[in-house]
Amino acid sequence: MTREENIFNAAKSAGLRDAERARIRTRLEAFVNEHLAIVPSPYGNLFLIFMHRSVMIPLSLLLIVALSGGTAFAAEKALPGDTLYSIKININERVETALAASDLDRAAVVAHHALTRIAEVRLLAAKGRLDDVTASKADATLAKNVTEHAAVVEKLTAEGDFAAAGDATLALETAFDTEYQKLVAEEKTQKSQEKGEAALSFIAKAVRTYSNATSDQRIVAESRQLAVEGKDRERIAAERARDNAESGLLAFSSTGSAAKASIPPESSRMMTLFALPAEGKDSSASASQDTSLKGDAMVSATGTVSADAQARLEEARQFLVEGKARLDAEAYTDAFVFFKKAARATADARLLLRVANESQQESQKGDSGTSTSSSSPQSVPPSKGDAPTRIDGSVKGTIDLGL
Amino acid sequence: MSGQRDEFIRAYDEHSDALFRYCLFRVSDREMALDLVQECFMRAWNYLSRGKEVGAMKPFLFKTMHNLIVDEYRRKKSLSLDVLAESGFDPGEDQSGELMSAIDAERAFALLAKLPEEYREVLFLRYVEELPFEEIAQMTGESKNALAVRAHRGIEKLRGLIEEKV
Repeated sequence: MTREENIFNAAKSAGLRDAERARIRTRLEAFVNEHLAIVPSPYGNLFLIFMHRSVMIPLSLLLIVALSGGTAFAAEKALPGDTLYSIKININERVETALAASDLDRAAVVAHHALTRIAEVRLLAAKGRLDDVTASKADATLAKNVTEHAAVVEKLTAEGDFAAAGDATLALETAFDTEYQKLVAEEKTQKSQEKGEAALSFIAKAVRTYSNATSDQRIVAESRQLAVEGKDRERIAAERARDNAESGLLAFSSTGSAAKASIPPESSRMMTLFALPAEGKDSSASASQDTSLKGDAMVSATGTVSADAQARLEEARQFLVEGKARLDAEAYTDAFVFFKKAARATADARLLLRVANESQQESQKGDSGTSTSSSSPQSVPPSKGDAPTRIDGSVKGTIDLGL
Repeated sequence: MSGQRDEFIRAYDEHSDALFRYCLFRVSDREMALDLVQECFMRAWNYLSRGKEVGAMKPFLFKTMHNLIVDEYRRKKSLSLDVLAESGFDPGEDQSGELMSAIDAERAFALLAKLPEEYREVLFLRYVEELPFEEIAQMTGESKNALAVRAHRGIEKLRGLIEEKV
């Protein structure tokens, strides 16, 4: 074999990791199935995600009906704010969870319940019933579902079943990602206006909040698995995670991050949807409920996205610094966790900036020469640690990575 | 439709690694490569689900991926193989999970990334992904002969790079 052939053969060995391959496959299957359906059911996609568990839930339902008569069955269709909703949550779903054959199945059932909350919010919005009270009920129940899921994952991790813990977190993370993809698709096709606005806002925030939390759990499970595999493997994995995190951050600093971070003075709804409320105030949420979203409210939301992305990048940088300190101290597992968190925070910042970028393109298309002077660039709140400057009519926030 | 769906998912299982590898080589950003692989298959399914037919799946998927990468270059103009060559990247793990192979892949990618731009893609597609010149020509819109000559010169350049390393 020639040396050139050796090079080509070595290149051939690069590929997807098993978890990555599985994650994309799950999304792809959901996408393909969704585009097969002629009349999509509002619950259809949720069942498709956990198709292999789908037999369990109808069986549970049959048992519930047998025990309680028609009330429990009727409660299945209840939404937050309905009288029967508490029966659905406290009896039906608890029975379903209790009947799970294993902890991994239990995690899947609870993840299914979490996604049901999102479907409920969509239905509430479609019926014009999504308001502060019903959204708050759905959010509280969703938080409970995610906490319950986290408890199962913790149990699996504590018992040393790291692969199951990783699978369980990946399933929920993937499901949230699928919701995100649907959200973006809906936004692009302009399917949802007016009534869907609050639902999209709710889902976007839920996806970001809970997906990040679930991801943290997956990282812990992976690190525990590493610890079992030995010091050499830990060190190599930590170094690779460091390289990955660094290259992610470098991509921001060396490949035109300023352009990506360019935040326009006006924007579309997507930016508002993805802006999580700052501590102690909820400017983005209140803005998102105003379907007109113009003027200062929009500018405020834009600024929140910019600050949020900057904050995530700063977090990523801190994680990287912490990771390097742990690596120097030969605490490889801890270092691995910090580097993975750095990569995750960078990806999150990238998502925020991508949304901002797309919004900018949309608004440029939509404007077609129309003046946008209603929103003054000077009124954009300064980003964390870096005041925005006006450049050719747009607000450009530079990102200092400190690398 | 169900048969077509199953066939499509099988195509994912069969070609996703090759497409990811090609994409990673071109964009040198693992997260972006993952996004583009997903986007590639979704676009392909959108095309197929509209009742359109493709001859062979592999070249069709590579062509779709090639177009996505070109779009991404145009849109961001921020993808640089120089970054890959200088800062390295995470090549992932090969099918057998052998760590040494992953390290070798990183070195191989870094070396190929040092080739002049005009030789990189054709060498990668021909000798790593093993696509025939005819299919590469369909992807890139160039003639088979031109590609063959460029591949030959590319091999010479690669030899030179290896010599420098030795």
